[in-house]
Order: sequence, then C-alpha cells, then structure tokens
Amino acid sequence: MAMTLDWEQALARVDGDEKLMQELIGVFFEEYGSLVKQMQKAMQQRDADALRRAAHTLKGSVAVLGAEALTVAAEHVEDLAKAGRLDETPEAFEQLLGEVEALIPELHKHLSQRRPSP
Amino acid sequence: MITALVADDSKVDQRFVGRLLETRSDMRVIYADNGQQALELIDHHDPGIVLTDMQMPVLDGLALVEAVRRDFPHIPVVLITAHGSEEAAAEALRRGAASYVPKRYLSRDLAPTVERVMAISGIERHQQKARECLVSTESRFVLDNDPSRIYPLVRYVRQDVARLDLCDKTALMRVGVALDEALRNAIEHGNLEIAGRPGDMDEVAYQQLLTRRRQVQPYCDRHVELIVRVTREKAEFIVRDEGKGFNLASVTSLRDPQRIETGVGKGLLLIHNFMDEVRFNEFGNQVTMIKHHDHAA
Repeated sequence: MAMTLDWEQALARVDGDEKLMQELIGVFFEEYGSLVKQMQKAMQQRDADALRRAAHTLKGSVAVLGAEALTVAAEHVEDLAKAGRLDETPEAFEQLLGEVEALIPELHKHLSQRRPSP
Repeated sequence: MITALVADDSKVDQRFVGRLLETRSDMRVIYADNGQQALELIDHHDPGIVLTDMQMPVLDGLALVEAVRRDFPHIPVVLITAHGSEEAAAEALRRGAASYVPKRYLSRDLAPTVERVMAISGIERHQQKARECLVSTESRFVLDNDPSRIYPLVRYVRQDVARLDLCDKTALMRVGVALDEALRNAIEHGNLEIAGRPGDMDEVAYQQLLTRRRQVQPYCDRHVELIVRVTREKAEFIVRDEGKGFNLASVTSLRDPQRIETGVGKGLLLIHNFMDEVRFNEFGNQVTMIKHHDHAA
C-alpha cells in the first residue's frame, strides 16, 4: 500500500532543502484544482487524450512531492485513458480524488512547520 | 547572466528544475508549459540552454529537440527523463539533444550536466570562419589523470573539427560531449579502475575517491593518449588508457533505451549516439570513434 506522503524521501531528493519543498507545495496548491477540473471535463466529453495528458501532468507534479498514493492513482487514470477504457475511469477518478483529499492536510502540516524567515 | 528555458507541463516540476538552475548554476530561468510555447520563448529570449521534459501537450520533447536543432542549432537541449520516457529520450539523443538527466537524480546531476554542456557548447557561438585552404589536421595528446585538463582539450579539438567544416554546430557540440565522455571514461574507469559510481554516492564523495586514486601507484603512473585526425570527410578520435580494459560483452546493450533511466553507462550511451562509428580494441582499453561529414553520413 503506497503512503499518502513520503516526506523523508521527497526531502532527500532535494538534498534536504525544506524551503524549496514548501515552495513546491505552494505551486501544487495553485495547480491541482485546474488539473482536476481538466480531468472532470475530459471525462464528461469522453476525451481520452485530454484525460491522459492531465493525469500525466498531475502525476509528474505529485511524484516530486513524495505523494506516493496519488502518484499511483494518477498513473492508473493515465493508463486507463491511454488504453481507451473510459468506462472504468470514473471509479479510478473517485479514487484519485480520495487521495487528493488525504494529501492536502498532510502537505499543510509541512507548510505550517515553516520557520519564520529572519 | 545566462538564461535557461525550462519546458515542462507540470508547474511543480518546472519550479523544481528552475530553482536548481537559479541556485546552483546562477542562471535566469524562463518557463514554458509545452514545446510550442518553448519555441516562441526561444525566439524572443535566445536562451543559452533549454531543459525539457519528454511528455508534454501540443508539442512534445522530441519535436522540440528537432525544432531547436533546425531553427536554433547553437542552443543545446538537455532532456529530463522519467520512467516511461526512455524510448523517446533515446530517439531525442539521436536527433540532436546534448545530454539528459534522469528526473530522480535532478538534484545531484542537473548542475554538473548543465555546466559541462555549457562549457562545451560555448566555443561554437563565435566560431564561424572556415579555413578554406586547410585539408587535414593530425594531433596527438598525452594527459595524466587530471579531469580539469579535459575541458581545454575538448575545446581545442573541437576547433580542429570546426575548421574543417565537418558538421553543423549541433553535431559539433555532440562530438565534444562524446569526446569528453570518452576521456572521462578512460581516466575514471580505465586508468583509475573505478568500476562505476554507486547510485547513492554523491558528487563530493565520488570526487574524493577519484582524487585519492590519482595519487597512488599504479594509477598515478598511467596516462591517457588521444589521437585526432580530421579531414573534410571525417574525423577520427582514438582514446587509449593504460588500465586493465573491460569486458566488451558487458557493454553490448549500450543502445538499449532502458539504460537511460538507470544512469548506468551514460558516457558510452552518449558516445554511441553521437559518433557514427565506435570500435573498441580487444583489450577494451582503446576506443576509436569516427564522425563522418554531415553529407557523407
């Protein structure tokens, strides 16, 4: 079972640069809503290519943050869209939304630990 | 200050790469969400280097590499590769990319890769004049195991190749990268007998290991020889070290795209992609690389 957030591993990949990770979390907060909307729209319009692209973009973003479970969920949607199995995407998308919901508070924890800047 | 362009559909990945370039390579960074936007920005800002993700909407990394090679041949493109993009990355290397960095090693490998590519490509910007009466050159170099000699040597040799109008700027930059990798291999894996760098060893520890080896026998007595013969038809580069050689069978899968993500054998993979012919002697301590004239290839 993939972890919601493997913060240690994500930090290790940026050589322990917490400030950079917090900045990347901020970028993710600005970006994910639009990606989720793009995916919803693509499913409504049964546009497999648009769904695949948005899921791929989301996967890239959350992988950097160490969000393992959401990375797996986004990859699953991407794979289904790539295979044209659109009837199976609503369930995979629900799973993805669940992982987003679980991830947000975890990321907020690391933002709130930010030390006051000198 | 040099401008770098980062093309990636993920804003988080964009910022990650951008911040590394700003803080470690002292570059100004501009961002594109896809290949098409990247080309428009390149046209306006003339960046010194482009870093691109492979999978992007509208125009992907492979198409971007081809367009840059065609329209802006003096700008090197470095690929950022991820699991699943190995095939496309191998194709992009064949079509003109200067180097690549696996996404999982960005923090460790991006700055040294960018530095190396910039050092090698810089010379071409101001070298335009062809020496029409020159027919061929032949040079022989002998160097010790000090890697700081590699840059100046590669620059010198690139001028030889450029003077004879052998290939376009992109191919010339790639010849430089291949030669740099071959010399580095000869020193590190040949003369110093370091089999390979473990994935978890950082740059500082690796450099310390190299420095220690360089100072003790038998390693310190060994040299690398480089012979360069250039005509208007082809350039031949022979790199020979005095190490124990290596098992040729172990490098038979060099063109296998799956190797890209592992980072293992990167030097040899680049050499095979950037030179037209690559041969090893039976002991594995000498490599002969040939680059044909663009039109003869």
